[in-house]
Amino acid sequence: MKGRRQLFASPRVAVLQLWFAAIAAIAGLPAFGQLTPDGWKLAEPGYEFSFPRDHGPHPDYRTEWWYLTGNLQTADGREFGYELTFFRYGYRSPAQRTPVKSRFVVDDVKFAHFTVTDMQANRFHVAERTSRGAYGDAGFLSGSRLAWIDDWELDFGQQFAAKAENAGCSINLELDPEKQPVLQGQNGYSRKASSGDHASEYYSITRMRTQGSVVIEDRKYQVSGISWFDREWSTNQLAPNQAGWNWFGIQLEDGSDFMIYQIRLKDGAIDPSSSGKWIDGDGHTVDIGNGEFVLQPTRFWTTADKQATYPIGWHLKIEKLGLDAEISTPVEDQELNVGVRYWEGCVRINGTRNQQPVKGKGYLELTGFAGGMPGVGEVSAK
Amino acid sequence: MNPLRFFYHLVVRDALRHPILTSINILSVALGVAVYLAIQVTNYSANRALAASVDVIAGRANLQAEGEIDDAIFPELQKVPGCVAATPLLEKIVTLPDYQGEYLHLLGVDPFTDREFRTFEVKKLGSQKMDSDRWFSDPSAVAVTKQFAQSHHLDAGSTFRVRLGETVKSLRVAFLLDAPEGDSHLAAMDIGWLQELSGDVGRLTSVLFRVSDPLDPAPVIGRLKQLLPPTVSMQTPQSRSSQVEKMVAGFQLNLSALSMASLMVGVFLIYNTVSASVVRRRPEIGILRSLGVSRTGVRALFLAEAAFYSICGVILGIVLGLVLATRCIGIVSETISNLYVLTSIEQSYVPWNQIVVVSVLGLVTGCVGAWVPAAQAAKLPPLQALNLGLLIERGQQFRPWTLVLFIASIFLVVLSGWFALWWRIRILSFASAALALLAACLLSPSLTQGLGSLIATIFSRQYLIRLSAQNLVRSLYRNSVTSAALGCAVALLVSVSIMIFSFRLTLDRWMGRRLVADIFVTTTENQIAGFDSFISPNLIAFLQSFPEVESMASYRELPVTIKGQEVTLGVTMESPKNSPEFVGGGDAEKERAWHQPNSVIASEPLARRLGLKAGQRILIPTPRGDKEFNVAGIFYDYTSDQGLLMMQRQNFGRFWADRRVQAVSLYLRPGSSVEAVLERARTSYPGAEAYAFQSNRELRGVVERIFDQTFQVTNLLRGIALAVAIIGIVLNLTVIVKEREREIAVLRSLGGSSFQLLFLILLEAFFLTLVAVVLGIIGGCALAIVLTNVINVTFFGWTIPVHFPWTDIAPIGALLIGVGVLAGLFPALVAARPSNLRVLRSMV
Repeated sequence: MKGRRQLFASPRVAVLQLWFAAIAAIAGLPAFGQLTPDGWKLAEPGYEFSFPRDHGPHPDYRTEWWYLTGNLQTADGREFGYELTFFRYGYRSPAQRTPVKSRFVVDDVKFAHFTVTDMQANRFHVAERTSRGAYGDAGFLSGSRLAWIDDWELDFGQQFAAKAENAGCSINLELDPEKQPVLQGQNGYSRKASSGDHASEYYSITRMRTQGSVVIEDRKYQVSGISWFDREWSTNQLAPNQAGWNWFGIQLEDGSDFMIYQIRLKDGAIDPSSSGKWIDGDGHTVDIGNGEFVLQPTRFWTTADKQATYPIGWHLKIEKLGLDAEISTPVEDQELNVGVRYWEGCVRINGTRNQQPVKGKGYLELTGFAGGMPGVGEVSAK
Repeated sequence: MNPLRFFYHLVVRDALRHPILTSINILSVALGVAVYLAIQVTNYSANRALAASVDVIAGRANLQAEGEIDDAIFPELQKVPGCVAATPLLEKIVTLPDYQGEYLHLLGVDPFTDREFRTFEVKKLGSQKMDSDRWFSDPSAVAVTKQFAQSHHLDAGSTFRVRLGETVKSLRVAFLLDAPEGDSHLAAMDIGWLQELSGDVGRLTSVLFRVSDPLDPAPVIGRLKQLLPPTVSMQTPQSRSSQVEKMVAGFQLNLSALSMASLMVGVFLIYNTVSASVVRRRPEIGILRSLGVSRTGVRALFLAEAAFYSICGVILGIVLGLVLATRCIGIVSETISNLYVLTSIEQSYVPWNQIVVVSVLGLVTGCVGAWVPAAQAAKLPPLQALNLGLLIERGQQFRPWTLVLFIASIFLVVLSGWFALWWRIRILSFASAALALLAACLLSPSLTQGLGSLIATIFSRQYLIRLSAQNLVRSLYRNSVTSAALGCAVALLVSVSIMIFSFRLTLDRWMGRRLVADIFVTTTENQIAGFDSFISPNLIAFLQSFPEVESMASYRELPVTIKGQEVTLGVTMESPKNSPEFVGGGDAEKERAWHQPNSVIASEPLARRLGLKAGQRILIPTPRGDKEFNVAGIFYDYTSDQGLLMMQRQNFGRFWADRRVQAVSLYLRPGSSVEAVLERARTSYPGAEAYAFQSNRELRGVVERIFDQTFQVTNLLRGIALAVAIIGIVLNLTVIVKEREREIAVLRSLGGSSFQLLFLILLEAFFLTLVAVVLGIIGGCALAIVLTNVINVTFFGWTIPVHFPWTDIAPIGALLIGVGVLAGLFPALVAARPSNLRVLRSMV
């Protein structure tokens, strides 16, 4: 789950930073049938997913994202991690969409984050783009072109394709799903708080065989690996008492994948709606309830400016699946400081499953530890 | 003795003993300092406000493209090599129908691209939640400045109405616009919603750029120009700022020069003051010298005294100057808005370096003025100083070299004026003016001598008159300096009066020729912001349908870039009744040539600014590319000191596919009632509130009001010059009476009555003022000729024939003489006091 990501407003757009305040307001909205008073649709149980339709945008909901993360390597073993995410944040609800003539009046803002982790060089490349898409330079569509901002693009045809470039660092990847989309939560209805109707519609393609190239400092590397694709849309995700979250998306070498998220409350407790999903090699899924996993931070990393301390090492236990593992990262500094700060980076997992050694790779996301997010430092204080 | 104690006893105590004299002394420095500082503060504040008005929009840009830009080409502009960032901008001036005469400068900005350009912040207002959703989703959400919100009693969420053309729309105060130094009339909203609001869909008024090499933007400019329409101008904000500054520089420099003149008058006044002190304190000087104080010591004493007065004067002057500045700023702000650019100077900034400058100037003024009398005091032999019985003042011989110098300076006035015009060196035109004043001063001894001798000869039998005339000549140089001081003040007064009168006559003449239509119509927005918005074609059709309307003329303006300079192009379709008057005559022929294809005419200031001559060909950027136009003639025009290029409407139509007009004027059939037509237009046209319908008389009233407003600061300075003149008279006569104590005592002992003594002193006051006034009028006329024919031409390029308002000057002269005599009354009464035995006894 990538709940609350609509907070990641672009730093390039000072006005957008006002979302912090807006989010609190959104979070506090009462449910009003299926629509908010502004006219936005709320995530509700029973949504009928259909593919490829749901790869495309859902403009009746306020927030939405297309989220790709992955671990890649060259033939000779040089390893990279990447993230390419497109966000849509709605300004004008369907009810507010009066006909306009100005190209600058748009229904939503488009923004994207792009990172590449170069493990050998221990470097993390970050870029962000924001646009209102007044000139068709950014947008979301059903069909072959799912999301784009300038030359950053996510396409869908026979398979998925992703490309992005910034300051001599780029990716150009083809992604082929090895598993069917997994509906997260209850048939895709993912609750984000124990009370109220804070929820999203959420599905993932947890394992995509990935091939293509990574360019770093104008040097091109042919790479292959595995990516994770998250799709989520919502209007009213978060509760006011929530502080941030820890999200894990892991692909194990035995072919199984799992996703776990913990929502941290401002009082330091963990929200009971925290949960996860296990997907085995055949695509069968097992729900992981809040009480069914134990996460213990084992290592912390503090940013150079001392503004945030992130728990970047974890011990994970899921008893019902017989998993006992350490999660660690090869590169400490994978913080995105793009106005809103969060840590999102590639991780490695090592441990046992049913007493058999198991290892894998994945991505970890940590939010609410610095800059603008409520609840800074709860975990680090533990 | 400790020098400080010495100073205290001889200067401070003395000053305290003569409070009135001391006050006058201090005031004479203070006024000059105050006027100078007030003008400096005003100019500085105006420049800061003007710079801020450019900065707040384009402050962080390296380049600005201005003009009608289709927003579809913006992405191409963004991608131009060498351009690292670009942001689109739409600017609108809107009037507020609920607040008479008020306006907002609305900026339509794009927060997605303007991060690197933004000079203001959008913040939350009051307790309202700050959310960007509203910025992008609410068509009426606007950010206004705190001052604007407060002065219009608007809170978060309040709505107010704005007028856009004939429609009135509501805006909601959603955010606070925080622009340091920015104008309170600034407001911002999303560019998309402003396009929707104002109907300017697809249109930008400018694009701002940051380039990779700001030191050499030329290659980027070249590339951008290929994409932009030819009518769009490209310039750096610095050049725009400096253009705005240059525009008002002439106006400001004139104010500075006038304020400098008031300091110059201060030199003369200090001369008088210290002279008075030297005369009054001769016995003290004698005692000091006898006690062994050296000549240098005495000189230092008097210089210290002058410095003491100067310091007090400077302090008082700074305080007065800052107070005066607040008044001047309002006036100058309005003048700049009327004549140059819409701006409001809301804050006064003190240029601290000017405080230093004015302090030094004040001190130097004091010391320069005191130098000669201090030297005289130092030269005084102790015995002579102690013995009042000795002749206090030797008769001064007229020295012809002053006359030679006078003639030489007249020659220099002409020479520098001629060079100023020939080489267009502005500073030389001021030199010419300063020399004209100097010449008037140098004429003073000759005039005093001449007048004194003449009166003494004519009235040789009227001994009182003869005596006073002889007294005038006897203290020739002191009286000359007094007359010169007063003369300078009077000359300023007179020259400014002549200049304003000449301007006024020229303006009247021009209005008589050019403002001939019966009714003028423009938008209310244009009235505030200058020609910016357009008249609806519906209104034009409506007005044309009036049976009373015989013909209609139209006008619009647009900026064009010619020879790299921004020039206003006026497009006109005129009635034959209204034809321009051309420099060098041949009106009919030039008018015909102007109607030929590809012809324009240039106003006199523009011709001077760009170096244009009749018959010359110039390139004008048009939507169809740069086209060559023939300058059919140079015409007299007084509407803009930046100048105007005028084009006939049919010529304009050949290149611009734009038929909109910004003002129309109506010529009614003979016998029609202007009032009835006005009334009908105002009441029966829907949306008439968006327009100003003015009769000929009303418009002339407006022009005259602007004219008067423009000269308000000048008038203020004129008033201060008058005050300085009066102070000078009082001061001088006080000195005279003190000097003549002995003589007056003798006269009394010989049987002179109080009345006779009173009459004698009043006569002297009369003669002194008379010389000053005659000198002032002569100097004033000379200065006026330099002001109108040299300074005015080099700064503004206007031909203003000099006219002498004798009916105005004569009363001023009479008034001053009256004031002079009145000012003499106090010292005269002192002289007439029968208590001069002590003085007489000291002679024995």
